Amino acid sequence: MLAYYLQQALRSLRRNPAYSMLMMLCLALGVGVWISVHSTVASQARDPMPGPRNLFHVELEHDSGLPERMGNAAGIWGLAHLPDLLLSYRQVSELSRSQIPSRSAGAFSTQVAVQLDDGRFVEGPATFCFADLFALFEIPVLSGSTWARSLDLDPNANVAVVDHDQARLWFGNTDPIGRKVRLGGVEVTISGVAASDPQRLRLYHLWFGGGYRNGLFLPLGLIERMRARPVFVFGWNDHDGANAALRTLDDGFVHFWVELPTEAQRSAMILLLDSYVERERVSGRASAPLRPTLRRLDDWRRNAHQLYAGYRLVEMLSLIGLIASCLSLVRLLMAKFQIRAPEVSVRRALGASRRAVFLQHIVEALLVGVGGALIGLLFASLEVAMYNAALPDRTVDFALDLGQVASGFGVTLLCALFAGLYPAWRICSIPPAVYLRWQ
Amino acid sequence: MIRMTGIKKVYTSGVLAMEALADLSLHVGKGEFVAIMGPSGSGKTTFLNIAGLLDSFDGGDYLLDDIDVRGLGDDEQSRLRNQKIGFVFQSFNLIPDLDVFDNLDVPLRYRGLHGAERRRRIEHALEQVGLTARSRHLPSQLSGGQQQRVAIARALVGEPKLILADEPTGNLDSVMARQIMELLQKINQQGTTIVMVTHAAELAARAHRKLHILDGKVIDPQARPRRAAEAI
Repeated sequence: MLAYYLQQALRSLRRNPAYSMLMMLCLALGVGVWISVHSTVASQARDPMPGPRNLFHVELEHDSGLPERMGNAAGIWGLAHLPDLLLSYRQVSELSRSQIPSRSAGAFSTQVAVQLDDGRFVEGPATFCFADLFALFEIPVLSGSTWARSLDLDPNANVAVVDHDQARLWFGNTDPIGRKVRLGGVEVTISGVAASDPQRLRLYHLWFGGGYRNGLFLPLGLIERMRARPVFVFGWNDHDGANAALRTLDDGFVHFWVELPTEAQRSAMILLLDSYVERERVSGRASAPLRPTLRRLDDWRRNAHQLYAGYRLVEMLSLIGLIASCLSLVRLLMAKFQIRAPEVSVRRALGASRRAVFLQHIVEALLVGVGGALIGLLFASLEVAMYNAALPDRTVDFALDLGQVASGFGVTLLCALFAGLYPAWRICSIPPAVYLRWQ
Repeated sequence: MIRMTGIKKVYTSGVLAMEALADLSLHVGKGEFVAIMGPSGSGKTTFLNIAGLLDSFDGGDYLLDDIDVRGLGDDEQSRLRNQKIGFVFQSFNLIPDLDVFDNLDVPLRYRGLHGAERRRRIEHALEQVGLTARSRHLPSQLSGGQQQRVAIARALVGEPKLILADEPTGNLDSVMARQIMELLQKINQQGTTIVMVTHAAELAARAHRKLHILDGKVIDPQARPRRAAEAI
C-alpha cells in the first residue's frame, strides 16, 4: 500500500507544481538557516589541533557572582560562566611553580593601546603569557626569539613577540626585531616574530576584546605593571586597581595550560590540585569553594563552546525560524488537503479507511519534506559559502559535513511529519457524507 | 440484503435539531431491484448515506447482508463498504486526474488485491460496460454517458452484492439514460441487488418494487394517496 500512497502523493504534488514548490520552499528556508547555523557553530567547535596531545586546561570552578556584577553585559558577551572556570593571577603564579607538568603556560588575551616608535597610537590585541605558550600551541617563531622562562611572571620584563601579519601592518616591510613600542606607559622591545595563526589561540582562549590577529605576545607578569585586566576584575566602580591587589584577588581571567604526557604526571597533577584547593579553603583565601578539574584540550574546547551564550542565542533563533517554517507548512497543507475533501470522500465511499486516508496524506507531507530537505541543503551550502565570503577574518572555514547533511535531512523529515499530522488527521476525520455529491 | 428497523437520524446545528429520518423501516431482499422515490428533502440522500455506511444513525437497527452494522468501527465499516457495496452517483464522482483504469483501480487497491487480479477485474468490468478501448482516457475526455458507465464499472469492479445508485441517469439524455438502465438491469439479472433513487416514474417502473420516502419515513402510497401523489 505504501507504494500506492507514494504514487498518489506524487500525483497530488504534480497536480499543482507551483503550490508544491511553495510548500517545499517554505520548509527549505527554515531548514536551510537551521542547518547552516548548526554547521557554522559545529565548524567553530571543531578542534583545529586534532590528534593525540597531552595538553590540559586547569580549572578551579567557583561561583564568581559575575552575572550579578555585570548584569546583562555578561550574558551578551558570553562571559556569564566562562570566567568561573578560569584562574586568578595569584593562582596561576602559585600553581606554575609546580615541577609536575613538562611545560605550562598561563595566558590572558585582551585589547591594548600601543604607541609605536614613530609616535602613532594604534589599537592592538595582546596576549600576556608564558614563553612556553608558543610551543604548547604550536605557534612557530619565524625570526628572533621569545623570552626566557624566568621572565614569565616578571613585572619588569620589557620584551615582546609580535605576530607576523600585525608587524606588517605596524612596521611595513621593515624588520620589527629590536623596535620599541609602549603600552600603558611600559616600553617593551620586540624580540621575535611569530607566525600568524589566530585560530589556535582564538579557539582555545577567552578573548577579552576584539581583533582578528594575535598582535603582541608579552610576559604574563607585565599585567601587574600595566594594570591590564578585564573590566570585571576589580568591579565596575573601582578604577584604582592597585598593583598589589592583583596578587590577592580571586577573580578568574587567566587560562592555565599544563603539558602532562604520562599517566603518573596526570595523577600527580590531580593530587596537587586537590591539595591546593584544600589549602585555599583552610587558609580562607578563596572567596568561594573551588572545584578543581583537569580538562583535556578538546574537552575544554567543547565545554567552552557550549558555554558561549552567543552560539546558543543564534541556534535558538534558527530553531524558532524552523518552527515558524513548520507552522507555515501546517497552514499550506491544511489548505491543500481541505480542497481535496471531495476526492477523499469518494475514496472513503470506495473503501478507504480513516487510517488509509491519514497515511496517504502523511506520505504526501513526507514527500514535501524530502523536497524541502534537498532544497534546504542547497540553501544551507549557499549560506555557508556566503558566511565564508562575508567573514574573511573568521577563525575557521565553515563547512557542511556528511553528519550534518544526514541530521539536516532527518530533521526536515521530522518537521514535515510534524507539519502533516494535524492536516492529515483533520481530513481523515471528516465524515465522507459531508463532501460527497450524490447529485 | 438491507433490513432497516426504526432508523432515526437527527442533524443538529447549534440549538436547532432537524429529524431527517424518523423511524424508517424497510427491507430489500437479495437480488432485488428497488426504486426509492420521494420529493427533495424527504430523506432519500440520508437513507443512501446510512445504507452505504457513509453516515451514522441515531437510533434503530440496520442489518447489511445479515451483519449488524451498529457499533462497527471505522475499519470494519470501510471493509464492508469496499467488499459489499458499489456506489453510482448522479454526478459520477470520478477522480478527475486519474484515467479510467486508475479510477477503477481505487477500490481494488483498498482491498489489497495483487496487480494481476486487479487488472483482470478492471478489464472484465470495462468489458461489461463496453469501454475497454477507453481505459487510458481521463474522465474529461469522455461523454457524460461514458463517464456514468465508468462509474458503474467502478461500482462493479469489486463484485459487490449491493449497488446504491442515486439518479444514475439524471445528467444524461434519454438515449444514454436508457442504455444505463439496461446496463443496471443486466447487472441485477446477474444477481446484484440494486437500490436506486429516482424521480422518474418510467425508470422506477423498471424496478421490481417501488418504495416512497416522505418526511423521513417509508410510506405506502396507497394509504396516503394524496400526499404521496403531490409529493411525487
